[in-house]
Amino acid sequence: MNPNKAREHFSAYYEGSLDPGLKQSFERKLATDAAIQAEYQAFARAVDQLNELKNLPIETPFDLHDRITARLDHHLWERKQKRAFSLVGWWKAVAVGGLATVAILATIFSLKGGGGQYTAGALTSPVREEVRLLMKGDRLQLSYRASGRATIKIHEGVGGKVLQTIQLDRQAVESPISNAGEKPTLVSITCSADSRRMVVALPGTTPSREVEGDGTVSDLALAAAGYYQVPVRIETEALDAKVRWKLVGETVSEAVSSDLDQSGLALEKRDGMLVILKH
Amino acid sequence: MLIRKHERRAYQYAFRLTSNADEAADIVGDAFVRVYNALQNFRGQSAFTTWLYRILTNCYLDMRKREKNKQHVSLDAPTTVAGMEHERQVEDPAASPETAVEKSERERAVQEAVAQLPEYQRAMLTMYHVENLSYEEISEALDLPIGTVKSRLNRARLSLRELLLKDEELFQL
Repeated sequence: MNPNKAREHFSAYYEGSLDPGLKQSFERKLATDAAIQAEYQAFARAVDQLNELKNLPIETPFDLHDRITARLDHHLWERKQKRAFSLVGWWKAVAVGGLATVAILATIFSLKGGGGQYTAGALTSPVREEVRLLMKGDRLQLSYRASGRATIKIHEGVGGKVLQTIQLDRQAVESPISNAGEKPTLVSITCSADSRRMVVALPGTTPSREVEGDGTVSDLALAAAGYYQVPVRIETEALDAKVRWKLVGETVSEAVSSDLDQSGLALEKRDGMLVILKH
Repeated sequence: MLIRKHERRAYQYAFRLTSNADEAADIVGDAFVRVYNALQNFRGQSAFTTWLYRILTNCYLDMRKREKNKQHVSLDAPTTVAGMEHERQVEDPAASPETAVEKSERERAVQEAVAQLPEYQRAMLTMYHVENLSYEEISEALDLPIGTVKSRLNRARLSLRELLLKDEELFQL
């Protein structure tokens, strides 16, 4: 048994939980290696002393309870203040003009020999023959490879005014889609060669602190995008269905535990973004 | 009711991590705010105290991230009085026998060594040796496999042993 392996067993030996074979091997090492024996003895003394720490008394401040309740009261007061300033839910106040801040910087690549290779050097991911939305770092990216002619359109809201049209002819496109506006915004993406419509809420530059609200599924997507600061895709057709929500935690992983009030909907973490879908 | 029941234990844990009464109280306050916000999602997958330890540990780690450069006045730093430097004197309330002083010195050395460990190791050692949490409870509290808890605790103890080497004479039997 080498010294490093022996050290890995110090705690288990101290606690008497090494299995018999290993214990025999370890004790043989202690008997034959004076340095490891000395190390183990020092280790055991240190652990003995650690076990004494619990006996050291700690005085609880006389006003601890008051400090805790004051902190909680302050937190509740802050939440009330935020609600008072957004009677209708600020996510509903997205101005149409704000959608002009959606930035789409499409990079188009030529396809060679039926689409197997790409000439541009900046292609960062394998591009599939379906429109895909994925996260690249903290940015949303659209990817598509057209084996023939195709037109991709990015709309404001759900099927609204066209913000950008990308014409492809046996080409691939990669495009970050970001929102430089303060508030979250909704965009939808259609492709002439793909029957699906993708709807996604893009976070704005200012995070939201609102955890509770009610409205449509689109409103929920905007609220979640603003709160968690990640894109939120809607994968249900019923965009106008009513839902009440209470968002939890602060991370995307915690978001999946949010309460969506028995609406039959769920928030799911996928590919670095959130997805609203039916259970 | 929940606060009354758990505040003292929560404070003692936080104090052992920070060695600072104000910071410990702040951590406990923040922790109970998080408890309040997340209570309806607590489905009893673990004991409430285990869950609370997790929240307290996260609040402590978050505080450390925010206040990396916080300075404390050292009790050993000399003060200047009328142009002369004096070492600050702290009255030792212990009785005079040598063994009591030695014991106190050992405790001080261990506490100082624990305070020098990385925050995560400090939290694990405190949970196990002071708060008497089992490996299973620590595993639940920190959301780590038990094997990982055991190996990290072993590493923390080895690190502590290294730090205590300079005070070795205090620990000789």
